[in-house]
Amino acid sequence: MELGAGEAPFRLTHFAILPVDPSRRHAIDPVRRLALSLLIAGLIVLQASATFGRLTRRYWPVLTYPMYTEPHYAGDAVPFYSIAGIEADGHETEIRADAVDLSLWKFMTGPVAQIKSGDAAGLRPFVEHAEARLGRRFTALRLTQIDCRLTGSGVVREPHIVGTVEVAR
Amino acid sequence: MKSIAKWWNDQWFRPAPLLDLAAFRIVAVGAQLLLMINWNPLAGEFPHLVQLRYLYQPLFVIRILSLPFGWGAFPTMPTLHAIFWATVLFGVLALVGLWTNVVMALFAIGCVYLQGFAYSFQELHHPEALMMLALVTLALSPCGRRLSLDDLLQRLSGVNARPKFHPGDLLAESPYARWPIRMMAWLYGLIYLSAAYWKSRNAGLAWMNGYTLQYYLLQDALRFNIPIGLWMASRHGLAVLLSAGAMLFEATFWLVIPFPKLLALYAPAGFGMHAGILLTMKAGFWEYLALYGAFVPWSAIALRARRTSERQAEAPSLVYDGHCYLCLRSMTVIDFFDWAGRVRYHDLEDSASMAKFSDLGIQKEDARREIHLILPGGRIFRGFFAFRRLCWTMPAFWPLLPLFYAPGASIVGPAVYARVARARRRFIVCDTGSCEIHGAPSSTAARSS
Repeated sequence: MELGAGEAPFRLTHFAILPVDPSRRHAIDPVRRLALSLLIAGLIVLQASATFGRLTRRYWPVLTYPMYTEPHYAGDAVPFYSIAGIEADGHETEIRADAVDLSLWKFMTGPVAQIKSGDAAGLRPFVEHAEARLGRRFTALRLTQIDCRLTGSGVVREPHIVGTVEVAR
Repeated sequence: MKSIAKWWNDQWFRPAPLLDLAAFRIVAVGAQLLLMINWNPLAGEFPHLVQLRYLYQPLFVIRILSLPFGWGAFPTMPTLHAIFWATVLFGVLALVGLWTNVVMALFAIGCVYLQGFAYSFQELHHPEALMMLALVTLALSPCGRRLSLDDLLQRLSGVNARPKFHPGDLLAESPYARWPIRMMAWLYGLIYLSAAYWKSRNAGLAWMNGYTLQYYLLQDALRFNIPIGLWMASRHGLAVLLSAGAMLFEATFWLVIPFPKLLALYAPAGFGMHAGILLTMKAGFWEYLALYGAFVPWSAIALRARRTSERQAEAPSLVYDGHCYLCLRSMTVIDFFDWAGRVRYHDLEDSASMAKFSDLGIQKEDARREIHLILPGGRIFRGFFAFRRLCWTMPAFWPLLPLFYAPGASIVGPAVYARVARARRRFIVCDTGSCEIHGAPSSTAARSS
């Protein structure tokens, strides 16, 4: 393409990029065009089917996208759990999941579930790891559930103690 | 029927610039490579998954790709290592555009296999799917015809076949350059429509009541301890506005298909939406952010830069020996990287070109000995110093500046240049008469050396 030969050989909108020189012909191989057309149509049909849930997730990477769809209303609460380590002198230290190298999933299925069920023996490895990471020595762990409730004027935090477990030595 | 075929061809096979497709290849492959390296499944996820074989339910695509080893065969760790590193290698080659279509296809297959394997254990996430489809479409397109080593090598072989320098056609078009980018618009449109459809179906208007978005923001902000997410989750009015905006965006993105100009509005909005989700919820749809690169009008940007360069009455001029293969190759490489068209090229054998430089005291014999760069103000740089000054003119060469300005470069550089310039006699086409001036061997000897 000769630049500067025409004043506007392209329009600036991406999909409307057009050559203005009609003498410039582009040969199209009909077989290649047919094959590509079948591929294009097939992919659109597949993704359109998945769009409305006609395909299962087994057909990844063609997927349906039903994320974050459940409705919530004023008064709904997001539960959040906090574990406090209690020392002999009554001093308390919050033990966050990231401070003890745990993902939230492992935090919930590990120490949170163990305190809920009062599993003191099962908690021992967690306590030892937390003490080593935080440089403290705990006599008990307390689990608090904080319900973060949605209101029109903001989020209201409603903490309540779920249980306390004495540390087994 | 004819009008439908005409409409279809116009939609998918109207000639479009190859540059847009090539830039999209670089963005998509570069992003996928970075994501793969960051994922690093060999160190974390794969050794764990291999222990969970009892959960293995291979996806359909994994069954197909595993077919040579048995329907849904379970790979060993060494096999996964080999596939991962081969895929990275293919990705690097696809990025620089060497044997582009073959390596793009292998890269796409490798990525689909690795990600599909990780998702064959009854847990599946959404961000990667669009990237996989994009890589497959790119592999079937002429995405390596520009901004690639394939293109450079083809141009250099053209110089060998016909010893003449012609500036490259960066904005060349192809009837096969449009469909992959248009397909991205369709895929984005259908995916967003799916998200809007399921929100409407499961929640109706309640999805836009503000509390729904507050709930999801709060859930992720608490989970990942994100201060900005907590701040937004406590603002109901803002949540109402954002949820209505998100629903409107997702439900109507498909309008860019019949009305492409809307991309100027929807592409930045979509990029902003995903960036916002990343900041407030740590939901990293990195692939979606990168793939918006398909909608950047790269060719229009390049064209505008070239027009600006052309409007300048004066531009840096390179005077080269048009009868020297090495010079022709050098000009071809420089032009390959001169995306904005900032340099003008003058063959010293072209009398009209040389006439205007003779006033500056440049003689043909001098220009034959070493390359000359003439700046708009009349300042002249020769040989090594011409190449060094050229690096300032072209952004693609900026990474070379530390080398050109390294201690001692001003001494070593000219010596190396002189040595190479002396060696270039071998490339001279003696039929033109240049041999006498350089004292090169005869035509037969030159070609046989």
